[in-house]
Amino acid sequence: MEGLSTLATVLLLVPLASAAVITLFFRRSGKAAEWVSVVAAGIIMVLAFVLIFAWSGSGSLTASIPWLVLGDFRIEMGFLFNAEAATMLAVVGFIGFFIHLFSIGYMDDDPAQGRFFAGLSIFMFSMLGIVLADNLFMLFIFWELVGFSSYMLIAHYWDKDFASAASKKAFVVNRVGDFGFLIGIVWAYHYFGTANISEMSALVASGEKDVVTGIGLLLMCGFVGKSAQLPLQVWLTDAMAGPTPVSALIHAATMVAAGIYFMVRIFGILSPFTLDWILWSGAIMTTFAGICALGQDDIKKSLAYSTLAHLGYMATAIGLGFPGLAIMHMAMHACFKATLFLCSGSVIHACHHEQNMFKMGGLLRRMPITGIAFLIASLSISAVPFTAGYYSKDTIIASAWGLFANGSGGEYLGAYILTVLGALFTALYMGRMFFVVFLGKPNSEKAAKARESSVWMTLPLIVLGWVLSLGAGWFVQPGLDGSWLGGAMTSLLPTHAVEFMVQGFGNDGWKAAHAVYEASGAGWVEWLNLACVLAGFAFTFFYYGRGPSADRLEVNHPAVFQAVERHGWFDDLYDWYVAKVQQRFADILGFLDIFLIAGLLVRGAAGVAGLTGTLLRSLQVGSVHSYVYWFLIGIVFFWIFAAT
Amino acid sequence: MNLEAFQKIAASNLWGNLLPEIYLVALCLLLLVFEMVFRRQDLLLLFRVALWGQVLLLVLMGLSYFGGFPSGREELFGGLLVQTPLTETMRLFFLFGSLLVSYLGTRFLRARNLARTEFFAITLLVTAALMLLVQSNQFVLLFVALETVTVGFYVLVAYARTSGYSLEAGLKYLIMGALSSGLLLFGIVLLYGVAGSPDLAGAVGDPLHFPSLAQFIAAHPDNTLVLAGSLLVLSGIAFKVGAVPFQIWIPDVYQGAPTPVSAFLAVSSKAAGIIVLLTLVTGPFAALSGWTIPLISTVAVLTILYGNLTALPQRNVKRIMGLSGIAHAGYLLMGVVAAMTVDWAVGAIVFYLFTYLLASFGVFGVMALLSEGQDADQELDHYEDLAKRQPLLAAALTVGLASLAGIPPLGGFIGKLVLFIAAFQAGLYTLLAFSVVGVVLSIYYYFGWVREAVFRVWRSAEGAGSATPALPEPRSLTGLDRTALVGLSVLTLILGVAPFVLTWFLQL
Amino acid sequence: MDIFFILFALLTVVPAFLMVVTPNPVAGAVFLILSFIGMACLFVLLEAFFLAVLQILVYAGAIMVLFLFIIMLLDVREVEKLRPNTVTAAAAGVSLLLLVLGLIAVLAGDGLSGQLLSALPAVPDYPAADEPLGLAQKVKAYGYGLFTKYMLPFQLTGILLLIAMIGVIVLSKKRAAEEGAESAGADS
Repeated sequence: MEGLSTLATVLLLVPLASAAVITLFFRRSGKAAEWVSVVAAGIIMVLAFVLIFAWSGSGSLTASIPWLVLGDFRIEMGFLFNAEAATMLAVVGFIGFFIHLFSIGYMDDDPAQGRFFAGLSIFMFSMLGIVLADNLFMLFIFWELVGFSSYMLIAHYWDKDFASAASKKAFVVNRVGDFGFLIGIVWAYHYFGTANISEMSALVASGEKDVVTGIGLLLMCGFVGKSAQLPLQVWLTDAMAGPTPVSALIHAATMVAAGIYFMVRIFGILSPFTLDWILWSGAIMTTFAGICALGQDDIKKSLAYSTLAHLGYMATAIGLGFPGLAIMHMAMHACFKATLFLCSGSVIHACHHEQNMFKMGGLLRRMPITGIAFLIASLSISAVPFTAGYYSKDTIIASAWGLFANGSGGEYLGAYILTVLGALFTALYMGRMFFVVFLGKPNSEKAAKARESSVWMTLPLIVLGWVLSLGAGWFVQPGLDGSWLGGAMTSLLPTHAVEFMVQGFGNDGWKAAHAVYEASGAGWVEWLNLACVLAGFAFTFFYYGRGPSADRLEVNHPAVFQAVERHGWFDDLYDWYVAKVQQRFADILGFLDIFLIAGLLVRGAAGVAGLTGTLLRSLQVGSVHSYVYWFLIGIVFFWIFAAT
Repeated sequence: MNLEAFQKIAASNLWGNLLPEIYLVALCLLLLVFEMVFRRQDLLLLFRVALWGQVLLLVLMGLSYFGGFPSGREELFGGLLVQTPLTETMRLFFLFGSLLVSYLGTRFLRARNLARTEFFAITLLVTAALMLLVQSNQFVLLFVALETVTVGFYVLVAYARTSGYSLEAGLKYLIMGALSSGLLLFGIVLLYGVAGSPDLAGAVGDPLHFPSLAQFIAAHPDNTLVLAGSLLVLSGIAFKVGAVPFQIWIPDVYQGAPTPVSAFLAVSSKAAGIIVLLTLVTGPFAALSGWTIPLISTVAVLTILYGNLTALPQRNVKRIMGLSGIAHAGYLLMGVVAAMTVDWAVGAIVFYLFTYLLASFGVFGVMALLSEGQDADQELDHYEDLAKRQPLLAAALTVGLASLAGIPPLGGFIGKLVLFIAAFQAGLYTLLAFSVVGVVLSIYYYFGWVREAVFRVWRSAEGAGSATPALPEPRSLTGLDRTALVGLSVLTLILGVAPFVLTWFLQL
Repeated sequence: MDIFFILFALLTVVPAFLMVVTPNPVAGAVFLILSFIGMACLFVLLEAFFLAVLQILVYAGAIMVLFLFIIMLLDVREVEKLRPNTVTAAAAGVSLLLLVLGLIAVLAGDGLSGQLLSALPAVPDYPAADEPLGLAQKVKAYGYGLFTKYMLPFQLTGILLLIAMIGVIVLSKKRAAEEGAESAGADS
C-alpha cells in the first residue's frame, strides 16, 4: 500500500517536473522540449500500468496527508485509487503518450514548441490530479488547473483572433459551470462534514445521510461545463481552434471525459432526480449533437459534435444507473475518438492546414495508413459489431430498452428512442465524413499534393486506430457469451485489470447492463441498431457521393442546412443575451457608476470620498484642511467606542 | 544611584541580535561613501551595490537559519525589544520588500534626472527602522522607530521633486503624518502618566514597557486616562494602516509618490502598522478587548467598504492600487480582530501580508516599467491591449491582480481563505459577510483592469481616434526585469499551491 | 506652589494660543519662545532642572533662532496677507471645544479631585534613586539611563537625523546636467 501511494505520487510529479524543466531551460529549443515532454509521457504510461497491475484489483486504495489544518477545518491531499480511477489512469496514460508522440510530427513546423509541450505536460499533471484526487477540494483545484492548461493550449495560435476568442469563450463558459460546482462543494462539505469522496459515499450507503438533490445538481454544473453538455456545449466546437493533437487529447479523450469521470466518482451521492436529469440531458445530446455534426464543413468541428454526442451516451449510461458502463464507453471512446482526431490532424497537416472537408477528397489512396485508421475508427464509433465501440455503445442503447421493458419507467423509453436516433446520426455523419474526405478525387490543389505523414504520426494511428479502435473491446469480455477467442485476449492481462470495466464497481457495469437487456429478451434491439448503422452508411454513400466538392444538403436544401449549421441557435442566444441583456445591465451599472459612486462618493482629484458627503464638502476649504477634520472625526468616532 | 540595575540592563544590550538592522545601516553608509568617492554617481555600480548588498543579507539570514529558525520569545535591551518567530518573519518580509523597492527604484531613477544614491540610502534606513518597529516592546522605541520610518517616507514621497504631484503628496503626507504622530505621542504620554502614577494601585515600574502596561491596564480597564491614551495610540496606528477614518490621505499620496514609493507605502508601511496594531491589541491593550473588538470590527467593515466602493469607478491605476490597498488593510484588520481570539490567525495575517507583498509588487512593477516618463497620471486606457504589446508584462499583471482579487489557485486566494476561516472560527459573521461583499466588488475593478490589458475591448469608431493618449512603448525589458516579474508570479503561484508554506506560517 | 504652577501654565498656554492666531510670523515665533520658556519653568517646578536647561538651550535658543532666520528670508508681507477661512476657524474652534470637554471629562471621571494630574511622575523611569539627588547627580543618572537602557532608541534617533539630513539634501540640492551631460564637479 505504502509503495503504491509513493508510486502514485511519483506518477503525479513526473509531468510537473517535465513542465518545469521545459519552461526553465528549453523555452527556446523546441526539440529538447519535445523529448522531455514525450519521455515524461512515456514514464507516465509505464508507471500507470505498473500501478494498475500491482493493484490487488478489489477495494480501493487510499492515502492522504493533511494539506491545510485550521482548527477543526481541514483540507487533505490524498489519493483514491479504485476501479474507475484505474481505467481512467490507463486511458490518460496510454492515449496521452501516443498523442505526445503524434505531436512531434504535427508540430514539427511550429515556432512555439516549447510553450506547446510545456502546456501538454501541465495538462497531464492536472488530469492525473483529477484522476487520483480523493476529495472534492483537491479535485476542484486540479479541475481548475485542467481548465487553465486547456485555455493555454487552445490559445496556442494566440495571434489569430479566433483562437484567442475561442479560448476566452471556453474560459467564460467554464466559469459558469464551475461557479455552481464550487457552491456544490461547499454545500456538500457543510452537509456531510467531509469532502472526501469515499467517506461521503459511505455515509450515504450506511443510511446515515440522505442524498440531497441540490448538491447533486450543483456538482453536476461542473460536469456540464467541463463535458460541454446542454446548455453549456457552445465552447467545445470553438475550442477546435487549438492544434489538432490538443483537440485529440483534451477535447476527445481525456478532459471532457473528466466530467463523466467525476460524476461516476460521486455516483454514490446522487439522488434519483439528479440521475434522471443526467439521463435526459445526455440522451437529448446524443441526437442533437448528431444533427449538428451534419451541418459542419470543418472536419474538426464535425468531430467535436460527435464527441458531444458520445459524451451524451456516457451521461445516459450514468443516468441509467450503470456508472461502470459509462467508464467503459469512455475508455472505448477515447481510443476511437483519439484516432479520428489524429487522423484529421494527419490529413490537415498533409493538406497544409486545410480543414474544410469539401476541399479534400480522394485521400485514401494518398494516405492509406491514415485512411484505414479512420475507416476502422468510423466503424467503431458507429458500433458495428465486434469493434470496440460496439461493446459499450450498443449495450447502453440496449440496456435503456431493457430498463423500459422491465417496467422501470417511461423515461427509459425516451432515452432509448433518442439514443437509437443518435446511433443513426452517428452513422450518417461518420459516413459523410469518410466518403467526402477519403474517396473520390481531390478537390483542391492542397489535397492533390497530400502525402502520408511521417512515422511519428502514423505510429500512433496504427496503435490507436488499427489495433485499439478495433480490438479494445475484446479485452473486456471474460467468461461471457461471445467472448473473443474464448477469452484469449483477456488472459494477456491480469484479470483484475480488465474485469472492473465489465463488472463495474458494485456490479453496475457492463455485466449488469447486459443482464438487464438479456432479461427483456428483445433480440431485435441489436438488429435494429445494426440496421440503423448500415442504413446510415448506405444513405450517405449515395446521397453525398464520393469526394464531392460541395455539401449536397447545402446546395439542395439551404434552409435545412442553415438550421443545422446554426447548431440550435445557442450561440445566437448567448450573443443576444450578452449584447442585449448584459449590455443593458452594464449600461445601468455604468450609469450608477457615474452618477452615484463617482458623483457622491468620490469627488474629483482630492479623492475625498465620504459617506458623510455634504457636511464634508462644506468643510472642504482646501484639501489638507479637510483631511485634518477627518482625523478629528476619527478620534471622536474612536472615543464613542471607548466610552461605551 | 542604582548602578547594578544599569549594569544589568546594559548586559542585555545584545547588539549581535540586531545584525540585519546594523548591516542595512552599514550598507547605507557604504553607499553614501561610494557617492563621495565616485563623484559622477556611477549609476550601475550604485544600483548593484544596493541590490546585491540586500540579496547578500537575505542569503546570510537564510544561512543563519540552518541552525534552526528562532523560536520562543526573547526580551532584549532591558525589555525594549522582543524577538519572536513572528518578528523574525517580518524582518524577512521587510527585507524582501526593500529589495523589491530598490529594484523598482533602479527602473524609476534610470529614466529621470533625480538624485540616486539617496533613494537607496533612505530605503535601507527605513527598512531597518521598520524591522525595529515590529520588534519594539516599549513605547519609546516604538515611537522613535515609527518616527524614523515616517520621516523617511516624507522624503521618499516627495522624492520626484520635479513633479508637482510628488511635492503635493509629500506635503500632505508630512502634515498628516505629523498630526498622527502627535496623536500617538499624546496617547503614549497619557498612558505613561496614568500607569506610572504611584497613587493608583498596581502602578508599574516602567509604564511604557508593554507587559508591565498590560498588567496595569488589566487592573484598571475603565480608567478614563487609560481609555483616552489607548484610543489616541490606536488612532496614530490607524493612520499607518490607512484604516477608515484615517485613510483620507492615501489616494493623493499614493498617486503623487513615485511608483516604487507607493509600493513601499502600500506594502511595508501598512504591514508594519498591522503588526504593531496586532502587538498592541493582543499585548498591552488586551484587557480593553471589550471595546477594541467592536471598534476594530467596525473600522474593518468601513475600511473594506470604503476601499472597494471608491476603487470601483477609478480610472487612474495608482489610485486603484491605493484605494484597493485600503480594502486589503480592512481584511487584515479583520484578521487582527480574529487574532484576538483565535491563536493561529496571526500566522494567517502574516501569510496574507506575504501574498499581498508578492502580488502588489508584481502589479507595481508592471506599472513602473510602463511609466517611463509619466508617472502619476497613468490611466487604465494605457493598458489597452497590453497582451499584444508586451505579453510578459500582461501576464505578470494578470497574475498579480488575480492574486489581489483572490482567484484560485494563486496565493491571494489562500491568503483570503485562511483569513476568512480564522474570522469564521472567531465568530465574526457580520464582518465576514462584509468581507465577502468586498471581495466580490474587488473582482469587478481588478478584472476591469485585466480586461483592459488582456481582452480586447470594443471601442466605437470615434473613440478609437485621439481620445486615448498612446502610451509610449516601454523600453525593452532587461533580464533583471524578467527575472523579477516571473519570480514574483511564480512565488505567488507557489504560495497558492504549496501547503507546507502555509503550514509553516500558521505555526507563528 | 500652586500659584507658580498656574502662572507657568498660563505662560505656556496663552503664548501658544497667540502664536496660532497672530498673523505676523515674527510675532508668532516670539510667542513660541515664550511658550517654551513657560514649559521650562514647569520642568523646574517638577525638579527636572536638567530638562529645563535643555529646553531653553535647544528649543528657545537654537531652534527658534533658525526659525527666525528662515522667516526673515521669506517675504513676511506675503504671509501676512493670508487670512484663515471662517470655516477653518470654526472647525478649529470646535476642535478646541472638544479638547476642553475631553479634559473635563477626564477630570470628572476622577471626581474632579485633580489627583490624576498632580500624580504625573516627576522623574524618568530609570531605576529608582535611593536618596534625593543633586543636579549633577541627576544629569549623571540621566546619562546612565540614556546610554544603557535607552541606548537603542538613542542610536535610532541618530539614524532618524541621518535620514532628515539626506532628505534635506535630496529635496533642496540643485542638480546640474538637466540635459544629461554631466560636467565634472557640477554636482557640488
